[in-house]
Amino acid sequence: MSATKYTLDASRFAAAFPFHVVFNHARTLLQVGEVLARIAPDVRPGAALDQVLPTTGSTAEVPFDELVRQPNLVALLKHPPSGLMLRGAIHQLGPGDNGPFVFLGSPWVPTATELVRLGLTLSDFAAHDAASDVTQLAQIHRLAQDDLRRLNQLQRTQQEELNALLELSPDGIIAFNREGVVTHANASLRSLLGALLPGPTPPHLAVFDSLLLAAANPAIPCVPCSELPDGSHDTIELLRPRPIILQRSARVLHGAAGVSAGRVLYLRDITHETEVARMKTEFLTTAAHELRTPLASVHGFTELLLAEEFPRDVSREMLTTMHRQSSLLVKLVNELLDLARIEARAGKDLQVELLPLVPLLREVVEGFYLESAPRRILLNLSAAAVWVAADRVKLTQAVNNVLSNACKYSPQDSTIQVQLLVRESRPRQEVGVSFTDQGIGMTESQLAQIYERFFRADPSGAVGGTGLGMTLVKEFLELMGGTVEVTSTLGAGTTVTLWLQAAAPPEDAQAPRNSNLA
Amino acid sequence: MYGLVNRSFEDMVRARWGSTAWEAVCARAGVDVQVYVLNEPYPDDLTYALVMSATEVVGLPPADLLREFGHHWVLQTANQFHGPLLRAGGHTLREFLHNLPNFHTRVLMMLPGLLPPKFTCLDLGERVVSIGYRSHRPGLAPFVLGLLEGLSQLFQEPVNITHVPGPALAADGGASESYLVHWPSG
Repeated sequence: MSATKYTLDASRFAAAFPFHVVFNHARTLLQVGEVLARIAPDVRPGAALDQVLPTTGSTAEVPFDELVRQPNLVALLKHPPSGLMLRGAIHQLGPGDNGPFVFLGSPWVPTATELVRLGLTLSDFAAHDAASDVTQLAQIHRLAQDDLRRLNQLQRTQQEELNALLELSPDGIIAFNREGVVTHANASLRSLLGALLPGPTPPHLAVFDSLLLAAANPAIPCVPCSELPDGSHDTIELLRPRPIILQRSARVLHGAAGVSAGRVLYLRDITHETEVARMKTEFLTTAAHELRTPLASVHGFTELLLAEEFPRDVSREMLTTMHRQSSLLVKLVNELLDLARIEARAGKDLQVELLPLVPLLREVVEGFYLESAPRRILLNLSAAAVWVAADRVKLTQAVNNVLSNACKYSPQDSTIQVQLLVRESRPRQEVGVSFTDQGIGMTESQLAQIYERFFRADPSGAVGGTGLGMTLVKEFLELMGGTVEVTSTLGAGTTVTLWLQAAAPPEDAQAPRNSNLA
Repeated sequence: MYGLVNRSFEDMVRARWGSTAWEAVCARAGVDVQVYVLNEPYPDDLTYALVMSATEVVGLPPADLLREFGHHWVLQTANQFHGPLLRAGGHTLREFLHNLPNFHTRVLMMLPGLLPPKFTCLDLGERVVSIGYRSHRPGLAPFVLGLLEGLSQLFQEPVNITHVPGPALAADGGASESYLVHWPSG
């Protein structure tokens, strides 16, 4: 029993292959698919195949007989007027070798735009034909390429933002990949570590670690950067290339499947913060000590006076001591408040006015004649009249503090010279007032500490004071744009010079009095 | 949903209510995606969260917002990204609607990670077709209505569209809806 061979009838064949052509051995068209006939009207029965649909591309080089004999060869036919290209194969219709040929194929349309240009729609393609899917895939591919371009652009923008952030950061940031190779190091890193890093490119993580640990303070144990856990922070103190305290933060980068993709280290210089914290603690300790001494005295005498009856002269002596100590307390607290105000307000409450310097000095010095006796204050104000732009109260307080120190640390019958100086400077002249005493003087190391809070040249306590006077003098002068210079010789005396910028006198200023008082 | 849907929704909100509104939508939805890859599938929850957040930010009921999104999808997004392909879908609205089932079948073959809806198109007469819509995603009937209205505008064929709500699918909680598209005479 022979197997039945099924074939499509003509109309179903035409629907299944809307782009087919049937032609005879003379290559004359006998039948044309419905859609092909619509979009290429000259492709019609009776037309010559070689004229209306010649072979094209690589197929053009294959002898037509070969294409006919080997239906597994791809045949490309082109319709020149429309540019339509058909991709398919040529079969002989049987039975025998005398039957006509059929080209079964579809348009090769790589873009939807081309599809529209040819006047085709998706419904023109047979459902079994994947040719239109090529068009859709091409469109999907194009969209994927657009996505790629957009993602690349976004990545570039984000990379630029990141680089800017890294480079603007005052803190050192360095990133290593999984192999420990540096992938990024910002400029601040080199500023922080400087000569510690050899060459222009920071080294491998292992080398970086060894350099850092070699420069670290051996007295303080620290772990290598490569072993810092993700998200951890610690501090490391380096002794080289300069003493510096760094806060280290580590982040492990998580790659695909949770495998480490590298690590980022963040190094922040906390030397100043650490020093400030230390100074704050030291200041509080010292301030508490300075306050406690007079307080203890007042407290002790009060207890005595409450517990017992004392003769009037003894009671008075106790009360005098209490008064003196409480006055010291008031002065100490006032000066501490002055310093706190300066730090908080940073000079915003400065009342700057044009002041004639000589009368101001004279006024302050005259106030000291009684206190300083039998010491002599020699005023040498022979320079021409000078004006300064300054805060009257603060300048007066600064002169008072310097003069008070000069008196306190000078032997009786000594001389304190106050002299007005002028020196050329840019942008304008500077006026100085120097105070030279013949007191106990200071060593170089004492001189280096002169502006520290609670520093006293005579630590015995024999000379009264708060130890804040010169700190305030320096703060006041700097607020007013001036400077303080101090020279001293141990056992011979000290010269303190207050420098301020000279100011132009007001138009209505009266001619000054030149003085040379003793 | 594939990325193009989210991208299109983003474009619509930005164009209609501004970028600040879109930032607010994302923030409220807890979504932090800067670029939607158009042919990449994203969780449906993300899209729903964006839509629900947008209704609160722009003050439109969900049905109105989705319907407007349907218009935007056809007239802006599909036109922009699949313009020629859209036009290749048919010379007329009716031809396009008849191609819809094939269109989604082919898309599913090319992008197997996607779960497109299923459409059917049935001629009910010379001037009426019935569009069946079935999806495992609930609540998108207004979006489909907006799509059909958008297509009507695209093909410049005024039609009356009647939504015939269907019961929620028991199995997946999705939707099964019908739409009658009627070409007025004259």
